[in-house]
Amino acid sequence: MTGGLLTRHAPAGDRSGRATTTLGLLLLLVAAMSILSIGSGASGVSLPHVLQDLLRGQEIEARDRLILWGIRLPRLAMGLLVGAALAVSGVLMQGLFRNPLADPGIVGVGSGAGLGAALAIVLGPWLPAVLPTLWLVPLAAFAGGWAMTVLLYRTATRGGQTSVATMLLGGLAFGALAEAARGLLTYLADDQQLRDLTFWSMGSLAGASWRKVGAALPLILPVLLLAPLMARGLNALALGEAAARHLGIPVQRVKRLAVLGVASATGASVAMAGGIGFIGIVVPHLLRLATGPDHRFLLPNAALLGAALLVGADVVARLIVAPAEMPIGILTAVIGAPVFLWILLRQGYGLDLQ
Amino acid sequence: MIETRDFCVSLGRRPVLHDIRLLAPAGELTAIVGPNGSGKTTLLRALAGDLPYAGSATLDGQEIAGIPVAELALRRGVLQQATSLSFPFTVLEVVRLGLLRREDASLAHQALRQVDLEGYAGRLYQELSGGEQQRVHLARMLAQVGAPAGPEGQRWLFLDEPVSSLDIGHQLQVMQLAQGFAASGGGVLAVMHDLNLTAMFAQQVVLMSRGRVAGAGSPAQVFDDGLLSQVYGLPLRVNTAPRDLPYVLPQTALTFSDR
Repeated sequence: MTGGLLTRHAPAGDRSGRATTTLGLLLLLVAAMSILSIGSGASGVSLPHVLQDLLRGQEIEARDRLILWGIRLPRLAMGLLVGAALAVSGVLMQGLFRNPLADPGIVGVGSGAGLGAALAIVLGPWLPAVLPTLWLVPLAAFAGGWAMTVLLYRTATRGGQTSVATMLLGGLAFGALAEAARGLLTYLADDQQLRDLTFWSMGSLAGASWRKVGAALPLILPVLLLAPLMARGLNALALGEAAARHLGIPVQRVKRLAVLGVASATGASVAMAGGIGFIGIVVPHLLRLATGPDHRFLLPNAALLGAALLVGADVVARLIVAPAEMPIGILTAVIGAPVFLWILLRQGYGLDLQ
Repeated sequence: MIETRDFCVSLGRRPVLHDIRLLAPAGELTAIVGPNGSGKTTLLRALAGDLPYAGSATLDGQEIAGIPVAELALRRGVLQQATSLSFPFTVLEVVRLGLLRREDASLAHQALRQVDLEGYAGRLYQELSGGEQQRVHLARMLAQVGAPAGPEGQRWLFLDEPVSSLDIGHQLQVMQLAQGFAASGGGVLAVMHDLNLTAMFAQQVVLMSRGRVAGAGSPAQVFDDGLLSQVYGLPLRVNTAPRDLPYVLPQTALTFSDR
């Protein structure tokens, strides 16, 4: 490929140059959002002030250091990780189901992961203490998300053809079942557990800590780094399973890896930040409009835009009702739901709900 | 050379193909013809490596079931009857999906030229007509296989009704393309419905009937009034055009007017 920032004479129909330029712009956007995020918050720590102190070689005030290092930076790290994970999960799921409407949050994978997390919280104390709860919860969420994805894929796909209607409606049913099971768990929970459970229905980056970031990292980072290796397989899958096989793609392996990637990234996100919806559908859709559906570019760009969008939304969520903060899930739903409807109602997008 | 012996295929539990004996040499265009449901597409799919089979089927001496998908992709391309594409790729991007190696980049434009879609590279695939989309996939397959024959051996084209959605001009163009591919040393196996195009372009014809081979050989050998009428279940008459090209005329209308 000849893509690059300086490509001016790309042949017609070649969007690789534009996609590479977009990658550069998105990096800048992530940097800008990160600075904005560190600089804003209820406590009134001023970032320029702190930086000035740093440049002069002075010690940062203990209170400022605590707020920056103990609260804002882990929150930023969590926002970047979760945003990237949600967007990449969306791309993987859409590639797997060959449909732009397949989003882990919409088709119940998030609910499955939530059920896994809730099980770990409520039943965890009864288990032999092999793993601390901090690690158990994301792993259980991963297992729940994985089970849900496999179940949904088995239901919606017959003979290599995925039915969109079955996917959406089946996801609705499975999601409702998972939510019901999670609801039942609240009767088994004690006070502290109940508080932890309620937290998920909101979706928030509040309460981020370095330990939580450390627990989410091993489940999210490998997916972000390895997903681009699946790009050629996912591109070929857009032609259907038979045509992908004709192109030499090991279809079953690609599908299994995609399912694992979705479950791992979604599970860790849900365990750490609760149900944050629509990032997985808005981000890939905007990028497909801007630079096309080629997964070689879509996957890295989605990770960056997802990270920037979630960190940006988190800043707004903190500022809009300051000094309180709005659950970020509300904000992403307000932006995301109309986009979902827009995609749904647009004609000629390979949608066949029959 | 594609060669099958005692070749049987079942779809689920239903046996579809029985004891198929097929010989398709490289350098020639072999057409598979027969009525709907006679097993043409199943035969093509099984030989393309899509379906499990009993018996033996070899591609240039190697058992097809034993060739890994990645290697198979280097040796043969497959054009399906219909291919659905789920995301808004441009025409060039679709053709490039066929490129198995990066250094082949110029093949994409060459393939688009071959199917008469040179100016279409920047168009969105979804906005094209059905026939144009079919030619895009043909170009994608040509980009995949590259040259008909090379030091690594012959390449094969597996075409399932390649011209059924095309206008008469492009039908001829695509058939000429396939014929040229075979003439340059490659192999072509094509499921065809149009008997007259088959007679014009194929060197070998395999006539299928109810999952069995009803006749095989050159068009002149297979296109016989009695055999065709029996297999298709209606009166057909084979005539010859100038240069001894056989062409087939349905006799139903004549039968009615004779009454």
